[in-house]
This record gives sequence, structure tokens and C-alpha cells, in this order.
Amino acid sequence: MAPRDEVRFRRLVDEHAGAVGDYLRRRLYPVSPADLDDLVEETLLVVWRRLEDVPADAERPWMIGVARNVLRNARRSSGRRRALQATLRPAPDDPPAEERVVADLALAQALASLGDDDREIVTLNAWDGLEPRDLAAHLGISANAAAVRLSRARGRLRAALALGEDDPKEASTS
Amino acid sequence: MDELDRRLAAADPAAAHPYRLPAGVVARVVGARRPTRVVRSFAWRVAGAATASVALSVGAVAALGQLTPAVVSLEVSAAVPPPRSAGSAAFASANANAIAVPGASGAAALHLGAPTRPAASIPLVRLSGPTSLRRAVVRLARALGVAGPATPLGGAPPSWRAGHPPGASVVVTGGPVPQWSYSSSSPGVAPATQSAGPVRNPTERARLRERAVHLLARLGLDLTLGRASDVAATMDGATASDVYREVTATFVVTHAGWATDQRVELSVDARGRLLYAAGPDVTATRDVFYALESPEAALRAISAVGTSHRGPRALAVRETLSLRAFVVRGRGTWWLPVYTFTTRSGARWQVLAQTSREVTIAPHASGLNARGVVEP
Repeated sequence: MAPRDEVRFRRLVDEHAGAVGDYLRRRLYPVSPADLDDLVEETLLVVWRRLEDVPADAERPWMIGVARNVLRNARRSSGRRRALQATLRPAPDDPPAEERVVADLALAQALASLGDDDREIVTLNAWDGLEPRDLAAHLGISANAAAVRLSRARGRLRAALALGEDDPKEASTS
Repeated sequence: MDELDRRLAAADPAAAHPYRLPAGVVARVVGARRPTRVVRSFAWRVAGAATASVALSVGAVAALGQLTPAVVSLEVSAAVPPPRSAGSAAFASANANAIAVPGASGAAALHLGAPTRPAASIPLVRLSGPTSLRRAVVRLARALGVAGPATPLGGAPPSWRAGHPPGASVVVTGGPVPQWSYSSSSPGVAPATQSAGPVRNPTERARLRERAVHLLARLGLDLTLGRASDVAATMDGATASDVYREVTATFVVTHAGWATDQRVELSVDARGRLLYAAGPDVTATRDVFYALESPEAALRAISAVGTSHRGPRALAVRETLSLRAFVVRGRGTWWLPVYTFTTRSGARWQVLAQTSREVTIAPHASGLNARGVVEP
């Protein structure tokens, strides 16, 4: 790998490794720092190997997409060791970790009531800072479609939140 | 920012503690050649976290349960017989279990010399073979320039062959550690029948090793070769003026510096033509570092098993540590560490260097007993 590539890789790390780590932490929380470091490192290794594929105009969404795949692989492989950790496995309908750690219970319940795609796009926007243009790169859809999907997901979150809090005004703001 | 955004921002689990990349990660990644090494200890650390999860919240348990990667516990169900090219010397000999079990009643304890190689940990390595034997044989045949259709040969485990025997052909055989072989079988090459003894010329040995390395690269096999376990020549001395000579070399496949039970073999004639080659068709897909049992602990555990043994008194031994293929229930084939103990009489026996919790032996496992002693 040429030094020029290494310079670019180091810049990517400087600018986006924190966001990658935060993305993983949000979806794994609580997780030990060592485990989080390993997942970030695995993500960066993929980035390093596929450096030429990293789009210049969507670096962070692309890297978060890699982190998502790393996370998905880790979760998928957990199914292979059911025998040992049967007591630790979540039930199939258990909500993902992020809802469990949201202190705002009403918000947590509202998030849990969303579909996976809605929850993903809302949290990518609100927590990971991905704007519709970034979401489009991350999800492989057009910017317009991403904006529409985000708007609808936020509307459903508002509705769920209002339903949980019995607040029709909140529901009507979408 | 509206009320919803404010509530979402306030609920961000990472907001209070932004992630900071530890020092040294970038250097490791940039220097990494094999991705499997990077995740080296992740599985074990998460396994430890899972064990301690009773102290965590329900949410934490759920998160850990979702995250924990594949390797937490390995249940060994069979020892994989070594390939023919490995020979019997490296493994438990026919009378391996006739050696007195150290510490058993009536038998002197085995004595170990200084450990040959201290190691606090050793990788467990998952092996992956080709998903399709037919595609594998086609791929190898193409790389070796062998023409001809791919045909199933049947058998158990099944084999596929490409080529037109008695011309050049390639055979791939499945099983826990799939193997490939190439034979030129050229009618123009006379068979050499008489042993001409070992080849000691370092230049010739180095050339053969280089040839083997290039061959593996040509075949797209990511295997590392260690020392040559055997380099010998055979000759056809029918006519003194036209002696035909071929050399066969066998190399130990290594992983992370450790010898394995696999071998790569090749034969070339005096003109450098490749006559025969063989080896495993596997890729090491994942390393997980493993807290290694000491040789002394392995001996003690073996002693506890063999209480009724009546064999000859055991003598001092030396031990070597290497990786051997085992079938792990539900998880395919793995290289796991084994100690090979050698008595002064030359008998050898081999035992899985297991820890008490991470690696267990399945009931009625084949090829090894309950303690992990590999049966001949």
C-alpha cells in the first residue's frame, strides 16, 4: 500500500473513527471498552483493505456501513453457540440494546415500537449525525428517498411517543 | 431542533463519553496482513463478559448475548487422521497407549525436560475448505494447466478429478481437511524405483522449498511452509549412462509459527519438471488465542485417567507443541494445540492441550479418549 494511501487512511481515522466507535457503542451498550475497541479495529481493517472503495463524498456513512456489517456478523455468529449461552440469549422478540439503555422510558418504548428500518434511520440521523444525503449513501438509496423515509419514520416515532404519553398534540406535529 | 430532537439527543447513550480510539490501533491495522488476527481476543473477552453477566442488567445480558461471536466453547467430536504424507512418526504410534501412563499405579512418573517452547497462548484456528469440490478441482486444474473434464470419483469422502489419465490430472478429496493432488503421469517419464537416500544438498533443498512456495501461490492457497520434514531422491539405475532421478520433498505446513499436522509434498525430476504434488486445500479463517495448558498439567491429567495401566515403566520424555486438525461439533474443522510426548524408547503419544472450560471432548468422540489422548 502506497504511503499516500496510508495518509488518507490516517485522515479517515482522525475524522471518523470516533463516530464509528460511537455508532457501535450505541448499539452495543453496555459493552466493555476492550470489546468495543476490537470491533472498531475490525471495522478499520475493512476500511484499510477497501480504501479505494471509500467514496470521497460519503466517507463517514460508508464507514458506519462497514461498522454495521461488522456488528451484524458478530450478532449472527452468536447464534452458533446457543448451547452454552442459552440462558443469556435474548428472546427473539427482545428489542435491540439501544432501547434498553434509553433513560427516557417513553422514548425508549416509542423507539421499540418502530420497525427496524424506521428505528435505524431515526437513530442514524439523531445520534450519528447522518443527514439525508449521508443516509442515502449509507442505505444505498437516493437522497430524496432518504429524506422521505426519515420524515415518515420520525412521524411514526412522534405518533408512538404521543400514544405512550397520551399526548395528541405531540402526535399532530408530524 | 424540536422537542423530539432534544429528547433523542438527551437519550444518546454515547453522548456523555465520546469514543476515543486507543493508541496503536492504526499501526496495527496498517501493518496487518491477515484480518483474522485483529479479532484475536475479542471472542474470549466477550465470553468472559458473558460469564460475569449475572452482575449486569437485563439489557446488558441481552446485548452481550447478541454480540458474542462464534467461539466460546468448542466440543471436540473427532481427531482427524493426518494426511498420508505426514507419515506416522509425527503422531501417536501404533502402541502409543501401551506406554505407561505417568503416575499410574506401578508406573514411574514421566519426567519432562525443560519446556521446548514456553507459550502462554496459542491460536485456535478454524479451517475452511472449498464449498464445492468440483469447482475446486476445476480451479486447481486451470492453475496447473491440466485440461479435461471434471468428473466425480465417488468414495467416502468424495473425490473429484480433472484431466485425462494417464495424462496429467488433479484430484480433490473432501473430508474434514480436504486434500488435493496433482500427477503429471506423463508416459514419457520413467518411474524411479530405487531409493537414493536423503537429499542433503542445501541448495537443492532450498530450491525445492522455493518451488513449493511458488506452487502454492500459483494455486491460490494461503499456506505457510515450515521446515522440510523429508527430502529424498529415488532413481532408476537400470542404465548407468542414463540414470533417471527424481526428488520428493515434504514440507510441514505452519500457522503463526506453529507446525501443523498438514504437509505439502512435491516431486520433481532432474529437469525440474513437476511430477507430483499434494497438500491441503484449506484456509485458516479465524484465529482465537487460547490459554495454553502446560505440558506438566497435561501429563497430570493423563495420569488421572490411566490408573489401571500395566505397560512398561515410563521413561523421561520430551514434548513438542503443534496444531492438529479436529472436528468440532457444529463448527467444522479446527486446528487445536496438541502436545506430542516422546519416550526415550521412541514411542510417541499425543494429547489435546485443552483447558478445562473452553475446549471439551464430546461423549463418544472418535479418535481420542475422554482426556484428549489421541488414539492410534
